[in-house]
Amino acid sequence: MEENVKELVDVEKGLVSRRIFVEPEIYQRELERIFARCWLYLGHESQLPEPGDYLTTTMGEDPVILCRDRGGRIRGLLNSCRHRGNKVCRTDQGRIGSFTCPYHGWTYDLDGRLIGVPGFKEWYHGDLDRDQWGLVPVAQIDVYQGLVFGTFDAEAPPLADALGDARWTMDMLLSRSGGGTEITGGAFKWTVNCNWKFAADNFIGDNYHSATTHKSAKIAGHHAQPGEAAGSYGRKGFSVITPQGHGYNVQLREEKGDGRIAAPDARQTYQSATIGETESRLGRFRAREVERFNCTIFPNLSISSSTGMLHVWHPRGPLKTEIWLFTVVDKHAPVDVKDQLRLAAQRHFSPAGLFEQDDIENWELSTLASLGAVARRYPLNYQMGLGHERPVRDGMAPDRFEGLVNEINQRGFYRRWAELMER
Amino acid sequence: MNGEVLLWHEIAQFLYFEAALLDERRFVEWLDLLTEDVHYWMPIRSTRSRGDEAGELTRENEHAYFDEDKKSLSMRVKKWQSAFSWSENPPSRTRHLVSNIRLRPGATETSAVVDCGFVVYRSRLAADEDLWVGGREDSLRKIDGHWKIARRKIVLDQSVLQSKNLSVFF
Repeated sequence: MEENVKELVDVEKGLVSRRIFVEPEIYQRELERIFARCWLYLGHESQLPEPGDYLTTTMGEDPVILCRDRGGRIRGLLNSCRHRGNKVCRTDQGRIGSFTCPYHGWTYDLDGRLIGVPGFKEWYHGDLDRDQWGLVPVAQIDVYQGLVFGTFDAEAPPLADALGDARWTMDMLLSRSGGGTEITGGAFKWTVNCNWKFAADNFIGDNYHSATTHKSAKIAGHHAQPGEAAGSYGRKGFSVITPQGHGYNVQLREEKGDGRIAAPDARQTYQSATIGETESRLGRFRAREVERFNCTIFPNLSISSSTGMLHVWHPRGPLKTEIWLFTVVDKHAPVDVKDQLRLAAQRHFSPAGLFEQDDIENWELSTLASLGAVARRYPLNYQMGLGHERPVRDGMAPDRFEGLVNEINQRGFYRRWAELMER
Repeated sequence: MNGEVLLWHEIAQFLYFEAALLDERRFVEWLDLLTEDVHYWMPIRSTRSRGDEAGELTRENEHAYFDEDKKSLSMRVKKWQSAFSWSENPPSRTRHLVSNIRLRPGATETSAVVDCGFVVYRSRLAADEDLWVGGREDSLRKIDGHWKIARRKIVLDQSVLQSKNLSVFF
């Protein structure tokens, strides 16, 4: 693909070509220039407590094993035998001593080294440099507040720098308590016929959709945690977009906000009881002034604080996304708090969730109705608030923009997308 | 023996009637078939090695596609019946096929645990298709002469769900 991809995204005018959501050539370039380069979310430390524990995931479309080796170090390994390419691990998670390919029996240690080749003496005549034929390692693995990330780019900046100011908001979910967080048992995994970017672009800052998309859930009397998806019109808050393409909306606490629950629920009671610790870790503003946040960590991890959700948007082709949804909760939170958050997350989000099923209906049809030759001539509109940005720089939070309902973060997301695709 | 056959027949007819209510979108009537203390539960399945099957299904304190009481099920019905329920307007066209009905030992005239297999087919919009196959374990109670569902455990055979949503009941 020789043309300049940058022309497909014009953030100055708020225009994004529909071609980036449907065309196979652009998608292949995304796998190389975005998914094979960026730091991607792989798992949570609590899923791998002991040596030999593993889980499988994907980075782009590359299958990857995340495991804890004998020395206790977390490793990322391309899940593809170096001999004929077969997967050496075919389950979602478990505990194992080594990975043996079911095709010819090449066997790899937990750190990826090739330690067994059937017929090494008889048929290879000892003439195979086993040190060169270990599983392809994920170039860098690092952990931020329990979340394990990896990148196939050995030259990528360190994780902390790559996350940049996104850490400010991530900490409000992941670092409230010194006890750390854990993953709730069970991950939702399901396939939907939409381009992965529609999902990432929704969670990075679309507070515009709630009133229309989620109208039926509200009619039915479903309210998420205070403020969650119940519409952000008229609510106080701000938007942050970082140079790395991460973006978040932060909704501020309002003393007399509508829709607030009069009697505090388990989560509110827990947060009140532990606010001293949170304040000492995060400061007064984040502990006491912030109600909730939602964000997308570029490219395909979205985090929502109200029920502690991590969504991973795994690309499976230009028109297909496999959604993985996990929840994280403070390890030391009481059982009733954990139950409340688990139920709230899965009843509102997940395949059966009363909010998410309508989101997906919309993302699918945004994708499929953009396939036609004529539709592709007409760009999508990302102009909301363009030229009306109100920047704030006061040190209370990273440099930000007033207001929750705008498309500043989406424009920043596609600016970053175009930068990476061009280079 | 005769009594057992009659009971099996009665319960099978009840399950077929229930399936028809769902296919005919008579959800409010369907809610009446549930006890007030119903627990409606569909755990998540994952791909595990032989020998690790104990971990295949999520447990009660873990995530589930459905972990519902009557109130939350009623809210789902109310949501789907709204004109603004984009995932169900236009609505799904479903066919619930229930088969392999087996009464567990100890079933009485007023209480029974029943296993069955199901196939639920969904067509939606122009060309959306879903096929959900699985098993169910139902605890039934007879109240005022009518069978009611007190507990339902639903197990799908897919691990990664090959559907955009689960905006139907099973």
